[in-house]
Order: sequence, then C-alpha cells, then structure tokens
Amino acid sequence: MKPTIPPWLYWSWLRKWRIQEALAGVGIATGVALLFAVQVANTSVIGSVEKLVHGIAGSSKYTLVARDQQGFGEGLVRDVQAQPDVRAAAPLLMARASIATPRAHTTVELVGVTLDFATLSGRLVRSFNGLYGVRLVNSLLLPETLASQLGVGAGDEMRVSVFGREVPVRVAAVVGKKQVGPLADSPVVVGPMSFVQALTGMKGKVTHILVAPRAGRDDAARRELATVAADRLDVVPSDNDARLVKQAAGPVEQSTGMFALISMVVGVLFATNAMLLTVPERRRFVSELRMQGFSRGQMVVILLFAALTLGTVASLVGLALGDQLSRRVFHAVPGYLSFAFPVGHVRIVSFRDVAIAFAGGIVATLAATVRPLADVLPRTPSDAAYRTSEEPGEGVPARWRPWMLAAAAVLIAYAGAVLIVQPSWTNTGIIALGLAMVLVLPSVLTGTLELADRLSLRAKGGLLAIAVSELRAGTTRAIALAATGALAVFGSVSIEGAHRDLLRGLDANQSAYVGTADVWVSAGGDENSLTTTPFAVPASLRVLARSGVVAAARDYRGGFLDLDGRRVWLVARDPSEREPIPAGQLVKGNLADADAALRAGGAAVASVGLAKHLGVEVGDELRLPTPSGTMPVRLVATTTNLGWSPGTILLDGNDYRRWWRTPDVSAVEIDLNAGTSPAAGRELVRSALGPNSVLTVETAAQRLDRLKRLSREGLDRLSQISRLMLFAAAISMAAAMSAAVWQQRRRLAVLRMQGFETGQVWRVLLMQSAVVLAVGALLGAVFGLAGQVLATRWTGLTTGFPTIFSPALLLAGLTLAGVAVIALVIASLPGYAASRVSPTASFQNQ
Amino acid sequence: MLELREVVKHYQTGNEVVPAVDGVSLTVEPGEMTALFGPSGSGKTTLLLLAAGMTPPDSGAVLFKGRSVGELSARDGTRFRRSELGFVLQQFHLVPCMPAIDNAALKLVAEGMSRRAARKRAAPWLERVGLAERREHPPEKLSTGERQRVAIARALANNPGLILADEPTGNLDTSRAQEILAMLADISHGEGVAVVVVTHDHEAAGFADRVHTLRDGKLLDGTPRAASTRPVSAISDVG
Ligand SMILES: Nc1ncnc2c1ncn2[C@@H]1O[C@H](COP(=O)(O)OP(=O)(O)O)[C@@H](O)[C@H]1O
Ligand SMILES: [Mg+2]
Repeated sequence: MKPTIPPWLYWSWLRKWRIQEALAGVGIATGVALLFAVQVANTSVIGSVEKLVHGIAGSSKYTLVARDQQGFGEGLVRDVQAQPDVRAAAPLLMARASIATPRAHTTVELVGVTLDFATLSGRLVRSFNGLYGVRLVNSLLLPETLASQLGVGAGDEMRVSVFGREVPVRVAAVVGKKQVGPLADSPVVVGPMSFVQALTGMKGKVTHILVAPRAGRDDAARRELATVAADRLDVVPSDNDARLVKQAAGPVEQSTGMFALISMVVGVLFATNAMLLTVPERRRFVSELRMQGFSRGQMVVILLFAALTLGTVASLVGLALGDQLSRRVFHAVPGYLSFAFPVGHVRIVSFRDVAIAFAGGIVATLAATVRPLADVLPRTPSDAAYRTSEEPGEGVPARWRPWMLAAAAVLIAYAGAVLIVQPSWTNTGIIALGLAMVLVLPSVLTGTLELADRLSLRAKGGLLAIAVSELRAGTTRAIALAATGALAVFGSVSIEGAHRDLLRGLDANQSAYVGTADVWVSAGGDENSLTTTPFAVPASLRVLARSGVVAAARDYRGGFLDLDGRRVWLVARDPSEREPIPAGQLVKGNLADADAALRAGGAAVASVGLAKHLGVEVGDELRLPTPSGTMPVRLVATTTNLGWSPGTILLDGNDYRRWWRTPDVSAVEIDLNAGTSPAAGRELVRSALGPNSVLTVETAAQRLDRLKRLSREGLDRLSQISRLMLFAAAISMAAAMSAAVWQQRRRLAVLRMQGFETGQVWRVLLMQSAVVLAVGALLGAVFGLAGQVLATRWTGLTTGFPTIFSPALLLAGLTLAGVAVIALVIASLPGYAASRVSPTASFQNQ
Repeated sequence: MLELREVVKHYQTGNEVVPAVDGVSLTVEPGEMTALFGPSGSGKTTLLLLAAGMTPPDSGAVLFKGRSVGELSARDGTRFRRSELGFVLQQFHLVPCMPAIDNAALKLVAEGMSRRAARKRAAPWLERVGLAERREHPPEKLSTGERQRVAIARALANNPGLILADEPTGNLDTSRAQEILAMLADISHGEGVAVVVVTHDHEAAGFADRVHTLRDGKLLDGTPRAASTRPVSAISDVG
C-alpha cells in the first residue's frame, strides 16, 4: 500500500461525512480544552511562585529564615559571612505589603536588599545593583507587569501599606524581562534595605539571609548555619517557598484535576456518539475496501490513520480552546493561596500540560473509534460485508443485559464499600459509580421503552408508539446519547454537590471563627484573611477598651509557621476567649479538657491532617520551632484544618506572646456592650482609632462576608468545571440528536407519505428526544446524588476542609431539567426542519 | 376515478431539461388494476407522484373523483393522501421495530385515531393479507414477501379509493412477486379499489385489467382488457 492511500481514502470519506466527523472532533476538543485549561491554571499558580523564588534566590543554596515576621538582627549577616564554608551571604527583608494607586491596589512581596547581593547572581540582583544608590534613594523598583497593573511609571507616587502603616513612596524605575527575566511578571517590589526597614518599622532587622556555600562544602556549610541559627531561625533550601506552595496547592489541584478528567470522559462519550452516527456507513466503507482486496492489516492502518488525523486536529483545536478558557475563565488566582504565598498573575503553559492534554485527546479519539476497528476483525471479507449486527433494534444484545446489571451491582457495592472501609479511595468509587450507571443504562432505556409502549396503548398514543419504534431501531445511538447526558449530569451533580458541601462546611467554620467577637480590628484586606499580619496595638484602642464604652477587647495573635514541609496556620486566642477551640470543628479529643489544657499553656490543638503528617496522636508531644527555640507542647485535640489545607495549630495567646517574643497582635477582637449595634460599635472603634489609622475595622458579619467571598473565589473553579461540562454536554447531545434526526429524514418522508402532518412528525421527533434525555438526565441525577456523597467525602479528605453533606436534590433536579430543556430546545429546531421533509423523498431509491 | 389529461412534467437539471412525463392522458376506474410498464427512467414514478398530488404538473390536469389534485397545498395534499390513497413501494418503507399490526394501522394514527382503536381497525386487513398470525412481529422478523403484504394492509387500512404501487415486486423473488400481484388484483376487484401498479416486470400484465407502456415520458398504447376474460393466475408476456 502506498503511503498516500490512507490520506486519500480518508479524504474521500471526509467529503461525504465531514459534519459527523467534525461533531466527533468537537467532542474531543471540548474534553482536551477543559483538561488543558485546568492544568494551565494549576501550573501557573505554582509557577509564578517558583519564578519569584528562583529569581530572588539566585545562586544561593540555603536560606536562613526568621520564624516570624518580626525578623532578626542584621548583625547576624556578619556571623554567617564569617563561616569558613560560606562563600557569600546576603540579607533580605521580605514582607507582605499592599500597594494602592489611584488606578488599582494589590498585594506584593516587599523586598529590601543590600549591596551584598552582588555576590549572589540572582536575576533581581544583577540589574538592581547597577541602579543601587543612584535612583533608589527612598524609592522602589517595580517589575513591568506590576507597574502596568497599577498604572504607574518611574517617578510616580503610590501608597505602600505594611504592618498597619501607610506611606507614600516614589517609583524609582520599572524593570522588564531584559533586566530581571521571569521576575518581570512577579508581584515583587524592591528597595534598599534601610528604606524597606523604615517602611516596615523594622529598624536593624532582616528576615532572610541567602547563603552560597563554597564549592563542594554544602553539608558543612549547612551545619555551620544551623549553629548560627541556634534554633531561633530555620535553615532551609533556598527554593523552600516553591515547595511549600506546591504542598499547599496540591489538594485543590488534585480535586480540579480529577474533575477535569471526568469532563474529559464526557468529551470522549460525545465523540463516541458522533462516531456512532456513521457506524453503518463506516461498516460499508470498510467492507467495500475489504472486498476490493485490502488486507486486515491495511485496513487497520487506514482506520488508525483516520483516527490519528481526527485526534490530532481535534486536540489542536482543544488546546487553542483551552488556552482561551484559561485566559478568560480560569484566570483568577485562587485567593486562598495568596494569603500565604506571593502568587502572581502569570499564566504559565508548560510543555507537560500541553503534552498531557494532547495525548489525552489522541487516546480519547482512539477509544471512540474502537467500534469500526472491531469491524475489521472478521476473517473473511464477506463476513464484513454481510454481517448484519447493525440490524435495527440490536443495541446491546438482550442476553448481555443481566450480566451488565450484575457488573453494575458489583461496582455500586464497591463504591459503597470504599466509602465505609477505605475513604481515601473514594475517587475510584466515583468512577465505579459512573461506570455502573452506564452499565444499567441499556436496561433502563429498554424498560422505559417497554413502559412507553404499554402507555401508548392506553392513551391516544399512536405517535408515542412510532417514537418508541424509532428509538428501538436506533438503540445503540439512543444509549450513547443518553449515556452522554447521564454522565454529564452525574459529573455535574457530584462535583457541584460536593462543592456546595465544602462551602457549607467552610461557611460554618468561618462563622464560628469570626463569631467570637462583634467587631474585628486587623491590618490590611483580603490578603490578610487568615489574620496573620502583625501590628502594634494603638494606644487609643487600649484606652477605648478600658473606658467601658465597649464590653471587652481581646488580643488575637496568629501567623504562619513552616513545619516539616508545610506552611502551617497558627491561631492564638486570648486566654479570656470564651471558645478558643471551635466546637464544630473538633475531630478528636474532649472539648472541655482541651480547652482547659490550652489555657493552662504548653498545649496545642492541631488539624487532623497535620497531626497525621507529623505522626502524632492526641496526648503526644509536638515540637514547635518558635523564634525562641523549639518548644515542646502537648497535643490535646485535633480539628479539621479550618479551611487552610496545609494545616492549622491552635495555641494559647500567652504562649504565643512569650515564644514569639512580641507585644504585637494580628487582630483585636472587640465585644460590644449590650444595646450597641455592630455598625454603631464599628464606628465607635473607628473614631477611637482616628482618621489616620489604616487598620481595618469590620463587624463580624462584614468579615464573614469577606471570608465567604474568598472561599467561593478559591473553589469557584469546581463550579466552572461543572458548568462548562454541563454546557458542553447539552450542546453535544443537541448536536448528536440533530445529526441523528437529520439521518432519519428518509423514514420521516414515509410518515409524511402516509399522511402524517409535519406537526405530527415533529412531535414524534420531540418524543424521541425527550425519552432519551429523560432517561439520561434522570439516571444521571440519581447516580449524581450518590456520587455527591463520595465526592464530598473525597474532596473533604484531600483538602482537609470541613464539609457538611446535604443531598443536592434541588441542584440535581435543576441540572436534570436544565440539560433536558436546553438539549430539547436546540434539537427541536433541526427536528422541525426535518419534519418538513418532502414525502416524495420516500420514492427515491437510495 | 383518476383522470390524467395531457399531463406534462419536466425536470430541470442544470442546463438540461428532462421531459419525465410528456403529455400523458390516462383514466383509471374503481375495481380495476392498471399496469404501467416502462424501462428505468421512462417516467413511471413521476407519473405516480403526479397522480398522488405530490408534485404539480407543468401543464395538463390531474383529476381525482372529478376534483383537481394538481395544485394541492401541503396540508390538503397530506389530507388527500391520508384519506384517499394507499402506497405500496419497492422498499416496503415500514417503520422498523414496530409490530406489523401497528405498521398497518399507521394511516389511522395519522388521522388522529388512538393506537388501540387503530390496531382494531387494521386487524381485518392484516388478516386479509394472510398475516393474522404475525401481527405482533416487527418487519425485521418478517420475510420480504410478508413485509410487502404488511405494506398492502397498510395501504388498505383507510379504505382508499386508489392504491399506487411503485415497483412493488422489485425486491421479491418470482413466486413472492406473483403472490403480491395476485393479491393486488384480487383487492382491486374485491374491494372496488383502483390500483395502479408501476413496474418493469412484465408478469404484471397477466394480472392487470389494463396495460400501458411508458417510454421517454410518452404513453405508447392503452389496451383495455376485460377483467373477466383474464384468469388471475395466467402468465402473459405482453410488452
Ligand atoms: N426530482 C427530479 N429531478 C430531476 N430529474 C428527475 C427527478 N425525478 C426524476 N427525474 C428524471 O426524470 C426521468 C424519469 O424518472 P422516473 O419518473 O423516476 O422514472 P422511472 O420511475 O420510470 O424509473 C428520469 O430521467 C429521471 O432522471
Ligand atoms: Mg421509478
């Protein structure tokens, strides 16, 4: 066979069946697009942090990091530089800051550097060095993406607020890719050390020391650094933050990835649908070629060529679509990560993401084309030509159905068992459920047709009887169509149901978290939602607390602690707090005992995932690396992770103040007197603070709203995926149904010839579509509700978020109705056109 | 009953005009079977479409029971076919996966009758074509001859005045073909229905009361035969 033969044959096939082929392509492209967009979004989050980390770290290998945001004395730099195995060392002062211009405001990583940077070749440093001392006096350097986002250029003024202080600062210069490479896209602002120290109010302090060891002396240098750190600082690899963000983003990535995969499966089914439309023709095509003397091997080559061509084109289209999707729909950075990491607005497309999505598309196409490939298998050409298994009514042979039902029962039993016995495998349970649904579908459809047939004898059901017969004649196609709808509704109800359960759980958790006070005073805005930014309590607030105008004011302390590869969230409530441990979030331990132990000091409550990661049980000792050395505490209870997936630790406020050696707080909780409304209370506090304060004063309700908004933003991608999947499924079903209806025209012409009015013919078509959609969507909804149980359990387990299960009945109903109605409405148009077929068409032979 | 007067129908394909039916005059009476011969492409199907009011003539008149069916609206055409006509086609054109009885009752359903009532009304006709035993079988489970008999029952179910059969034996073997032709002749005589059988199968002549031959859209001859003089089973090779 000449190599030009397969393309030529495929071309001649395409000439006749290009629409059906294009439909198959669209299905695959949709799946590829979703998968790709989700991957890109996930890669971008981690990638943006990696860029920043590597850009700053340069050739340094280790970093000494302060265990809090207060930093340590800069004198330590000399000690480090004096170590025999240290080649170079440079101090950094890093702090989260927000910048406001008339145009926009955003959170950035404020970095103070010294001339020592010349000794380490970070991208940031190389160009920065030349500018140092010339223009950077009391001004800052901005990368171009950030500058354009804020709408400022060199010489412009912007307001920088950090640790509850706000200062106007000039932009010294805007640097681009040429000077700082990938850092040009990072949310980072650079200034001379002394200036940044002044801005942050951290005179003589730094937070990091980057260290480059002498060649081949890594281990020795690390030991020396550990000695210098003296258990007051952490010694970590310089790319530590990149690892931490990977860990933090992992769970949500896993869930979005899993759900993108489900939508990919729906895409494959759609493609299969489109392929099924032309099965008889494809068969004839194959058998004709076989009769003409093409061998089986040659046929396989020809069909594979066709599949690969379709797969390649469809995957490329899918990549392009996914690219747009990631730019326009999935562009939002999951807000929850920027609480703890400098996540930038960069879109990073890695080769790996492209390769995975592309390969997925090819595999999907091959999966959808196995049917015609199977037709090549008969030994003799005449078998292929005369086999009649596509006779009307074939579908799934009746004798298979009991076996399929049995297999479905086994799969459902498996899903149930996994949920009870091995919850970490529930993702396989979800897949098993989906599979079981597809297996029961032929029986359900057959049963429904049987029922409709009976019904048509009772009512005035002549048209229904015709619809039933037509469906029986094209059972395979009807099954494929119903399966697409069923899987889409199943996926969507499970995903969205789980999503809502997560939100419900998070809402309850957050409401308990902020509900401890009537009014909250904290620094900053959204970026400080976990209440980790420290500030000094203004004297005016202390006066207010003593004045009796408010009932009580309590210090709240919190921050992040890097513990064994995780950035853990610390919450330290004041000893006078009524409920320092949120009762609703308790997993293990006795609440009253744990409460008493926490107040007594030397105790901690950890999230259950973190405890497991650290290998400690309730009652065990936990070692916390605090700024005053490693402190042993007793684990007295475990909780959910309170919405922070790397893990959470609750401490007593006094312990925290002692170990973190600072009078600063990260919030003040204020209880109002009886009779003072929250809004009035907030104004009271605001006026006490005075007009120059940049501290944020919110009522509990306001703060809760903010937190709710952020958790919705963070998990929105799950909703987007489920919505896109539904949309794609509705469109795909409508397209496949339209094509099927169009192919049915000759038989419709016969009805017209027999004297059926166009309206009657249209009604027959609508009934056909309605039966298929109803079966598919209903089955999808029922299994979807079961899937929700598993998906909620699974997402709860992977993210460690608190969840509250509540069956998404309304959602399932609406989804079911929505898909059915959309697809029915779309399919009714070509149905209308087809019903107007001329009756003379039935006289034309072929 | 059916009268065609100087009917002309031309098809335009590109620059070429095909005179599919070119000045045909023809009368068909109730209780008579008319056979219409002609090679492929001679205009037989076009003539049937004209008779059924499914395509308007370019000139001339098509009268059914004295009423013109040449220029029926789509809706009136549908009603006309439903109440007055029966079709028997080469491809059978039964609804797949639908029991024979429901297929036979199709036109009654189109009229708006309930399925149950329609089945009841169609049952005698299925019996008439000898398929009482197979009433619940779908077409896939019937032989080709049986399928055509279901189609005949379907054509009869609404007591039509005229049955139009386009190559009804084209997909059948010789003995099956004769059965079907004999049945059509029998029905035309027994039920007083006008039957027009279009075919290039010359055996049909033996069953017909009149025989016409069409060539290039023109009628060659019009030989009337008395029904009584022709034995139903006789085989003749009139051309
Ligand atoms: N819809 C049409 N458009 C154009 N030409 C047609 C059409 N239908 C039939 N013809 C032409 O008219 C002639 C008669 O066709 P037809 O009535 O089908 O003949 P027969 O049934 O005897 O085979 C043929 O040449 C055919 O090609
Ligand atoms: Mg013809």
